[in-house]
Formats: sequence, C-alpha cells, structure tokens
Amino acid sequence: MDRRQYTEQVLSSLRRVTHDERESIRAELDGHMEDHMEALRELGYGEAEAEARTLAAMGDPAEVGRELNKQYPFRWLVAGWVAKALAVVFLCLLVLSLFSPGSDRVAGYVSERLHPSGEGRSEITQTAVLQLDIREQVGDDELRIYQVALGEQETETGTKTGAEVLAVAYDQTLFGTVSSWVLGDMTLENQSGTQTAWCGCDTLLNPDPRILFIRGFVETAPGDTYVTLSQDRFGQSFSLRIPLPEEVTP
Amino acid sequence: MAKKQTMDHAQLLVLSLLAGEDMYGYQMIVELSRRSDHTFEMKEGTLYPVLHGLEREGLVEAYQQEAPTGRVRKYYHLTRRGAAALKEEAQAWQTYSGAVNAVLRACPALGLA
Repeated sequence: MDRRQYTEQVLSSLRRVTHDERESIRAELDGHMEDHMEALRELGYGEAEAEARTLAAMGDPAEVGRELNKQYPFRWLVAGWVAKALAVVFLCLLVLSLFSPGSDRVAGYVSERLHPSGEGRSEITQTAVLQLDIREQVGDDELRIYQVALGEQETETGTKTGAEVLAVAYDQTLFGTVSSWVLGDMTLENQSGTQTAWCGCDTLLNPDPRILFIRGFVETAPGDTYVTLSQDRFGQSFSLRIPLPEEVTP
Repeated sequence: MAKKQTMDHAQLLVLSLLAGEDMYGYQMIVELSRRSDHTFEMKEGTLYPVLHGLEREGLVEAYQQEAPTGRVRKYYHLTRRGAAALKEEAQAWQTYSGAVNAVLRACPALGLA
C-alpha cells in the first residue's frame, strides 16, 4: 500500500460527505503523510522506508475511515442542502424584488428620505430659492422642510406673491408608514398674521404610504424675512420660523 | 458533586494543545508526543476524526494557511466555546484523576502511601 491507496481507502468509508469535504479530507491526510515523511527524510531515511514508517504510524485506514464517517452524520448533509436551498430562494426573491415594479418606489423613498428635492413640486414662478434642512418630530413622524421659495402663484383670483414651503414627512422607523392625519391641520402664517392651511399634496401621484410630500403657500409682503409653520393638536404644539430667501433686486 | 466528564481523553488533549497556539495535524502529533514524553503516541490517522468532531461541535475552527515552503496546511483554532469546554473538562479530569490517585495510595499492596 502506498500513500495514495491509504487515502483512497479512508475516503471509501465516507458515505455522507460533499465533494468539497471529501477533497478537503484528502488534502489534509496527504499533507499529514507528506509532513511525516519529510521529517523522516531529514533523519536520513530513504523514500521507501519513510513511506512505510509513515503508513504504519497512520494506523488502519478502515478504522480511520469508519471514525471519520461518524463525524459526518446524515443530518449535517441535510442541513447543508437546506441551507443551500434557502440561499437560492433568498437570492431569487432578491432578484425578483429588484426587478419588480415597486422597486423604483423603494429607491425613490430612500432617495427622498436621504436627500429630499423640490424638483417638479414647486407650483410658483420662483424669484428666489433657499434650500433648508429643518426637522421637527411630529408624533412618530419626522417633518423635514427642505426648500422655501419666493415667487408668484397663479390662482383663480389672480396672481399672488408669496412664499412657498416644501417638505416631506416620513415615519422615524425606516420603511414605516407615515401618519398623514397627524401632519394635516398645520398652518403657515406670514409676518402680518395671515394664515393658510397646508396639507399633503401629490398623494395621488405618489401612492407610497411611507412618504408624504407637503407644500404650503402664503402671501408675503416685500421685506418679510420669515414665515411661521405651526400646529396645535392633541396637546402637541410647535411653531417653526422659516427664514425667507433674500429677493434679488432686478 | 463535581461535573461528570463528557469528553474523551483524545478530545481533551487536542483542545489543550490548541489553547497555546493554532496548529495543523502533524504538528499536534509531534507536540503531543513531546509534551507527554512519548507516552501519548496515538495512531496519527485517528487524530482527524477527533478534530473534525470538535469542529462540528464548534469547539475548534479550521482555516487554510500557506507555509513558507508553499504547502497549504489546514490549521485549527480553539474557539471561545472550545476554551470554556476545555476549562470545564480539565477541572472534571483533575477531580477524577485525584480520586483515582487517592484510592491507589490507600491500597497497601501497592506501597504508594
């Protein structure tokens, strides 16, 4: 018997190992015998003698194989298959979710939550714009005012000059549902005390229940420096002073 | 009453070898023989069922490392769980061997007292 035959005989006893496990055991046993033979060569033994002594030191290959086989019970093999199957299913689901129609909505939600943008949401002819990041906790939600602009808005009664405030609201928990009713009933007030209600807009265009786009408009007078957003509901009240951008003098 | 030993001697000896440093199979055989003054000279092939069993139980973990000669060897490392098991089993062994020694010393025919 030589080293190769010894290893083959050990491996022939293994009934429940995967291909990778079998090759790993082969490499380990071969490496062990090579180490032992090298030590004997250094002591002056010839190749044949070193191999014979090494094989004698290794012990009965049938016994080693039998004992090794006990360390690879059937349940481990099954556990390995189950783990692989679950990994495949998970990957499939991941790929499907990435290519599903709702995936761009997820991306949009994350993007708006990280960097809200007023692109396409302004309804006024802007004369000055100021980017902001004012945050207020409203119940379980976070209200985030990200833009205020001065300009003109066309209404049924004519053109009005004023300030437009844009905000988003989302649950503080990632992917949580925003409580839109909590965010209603707010007022936007100018420095003269004129109030307008503001509410979620774009809800039809954006059916995502996790994010709410909010827009408010109130008339302002030349020289005004701020508008105030306030709420007083269910004992929760806040008042936020929103600075206005400086108007560019033509 | 002290905890009963659940581990066989080969497992206990392997764990104790790995408590000092990570080792590969042949290195363990040489070290075991040296430390026991050639008392423990196990059949070398039987080391691997012991190691693979300990790995399955999470008491040791294996990784590949290339030696300066270019040969890739499989090294074994004692896990935290393995270190805890070693401590527990070593204490159980001390209790057991102490009890055996006490009985032997009390045997007049052996003259060990």
